[in-house]
Amino acid sequence: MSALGWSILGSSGVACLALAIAWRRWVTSEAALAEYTSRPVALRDAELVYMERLFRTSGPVGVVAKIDRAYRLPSGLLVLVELKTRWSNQPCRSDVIQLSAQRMAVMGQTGQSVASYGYVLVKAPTRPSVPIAHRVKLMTDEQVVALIRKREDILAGRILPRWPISLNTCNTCAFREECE
Amino acid sequence: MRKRSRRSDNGRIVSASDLAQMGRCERLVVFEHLHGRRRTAQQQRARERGVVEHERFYREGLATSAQAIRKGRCFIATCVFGEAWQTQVLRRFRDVALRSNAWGRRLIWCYYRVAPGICTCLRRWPVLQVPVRVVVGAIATGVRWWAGLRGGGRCRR
Repeated sequence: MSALGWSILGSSGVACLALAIAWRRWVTSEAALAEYTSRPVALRDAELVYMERLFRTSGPVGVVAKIDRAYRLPSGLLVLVELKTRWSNQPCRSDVIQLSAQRMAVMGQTGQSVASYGYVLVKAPTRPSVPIAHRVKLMTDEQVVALIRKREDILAGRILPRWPISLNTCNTCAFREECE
Repeated sequence: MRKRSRRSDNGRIVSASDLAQMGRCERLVVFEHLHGRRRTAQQQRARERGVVEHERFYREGLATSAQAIRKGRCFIATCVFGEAWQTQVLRRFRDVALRSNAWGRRLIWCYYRVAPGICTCLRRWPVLQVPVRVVVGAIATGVRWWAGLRGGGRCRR
């Protein structure tokens, strides 16, 4: 191969490498930008400290929880964030319970202070949209423990389980036939 | 169908997502306990969409963490000590004591402007690392016994 051929091949290789590096940097910065824009405004100065991490505590009752994200505010306080994909743009009671149990598990395992509020990021299932953040007040540890005890009582047959408030829950339930 | 493995009625651990079902429907909790988890086709599709979104959410978080790690190093201590306890103590001091107030954040900002240049000098003339190691080590020892960092400091309950 001539010198011209080698130089064209070499410069093409260098150009491909540069393009690959530029593409990787662009993808990374785009993903980081997407993360930043999806944050609630109150967490703009916060540091992302935990992602998809499992916590467990064996305190008064055993709880295991996998958190989606936890941010540390400049004051040192941790704030939990949970992503939900659904059409209705509002947090549910189950989201609050889940975040409260996560809070109990994180505090129990790490001993760090976790905020008494959290954020539910609701994203529409098929739209490439930015998730909308909803701030929710979390349950106290005592309330979580009481709920766990109540669950135990229901499963042991000591308490009758209640029907859901919304009829829509029944309409989409896989156990509808047995339940009716 | 398989029964649920995590139950609290016999003293075992309950997961946050299982507990969250109590907020949806208490009868559903009982049915799932007796018969295992069952989903309609619509719920299955929604779950798969949710998994995809969560993976994207995780990747976005990873990208942010990678950038934060590049920006968040304690440059000089890492340069002279590596990942030693001194570095961890100083990093913790930065996060707990300095980041909590405006003057501290300004100080961090100034430090990040100056420190990479100092590290370049330290790497070029390794003999300078000895006095710097002594000074930074003394600061780290002092900070280690500072009340604000012992047991997690004021950010802990």
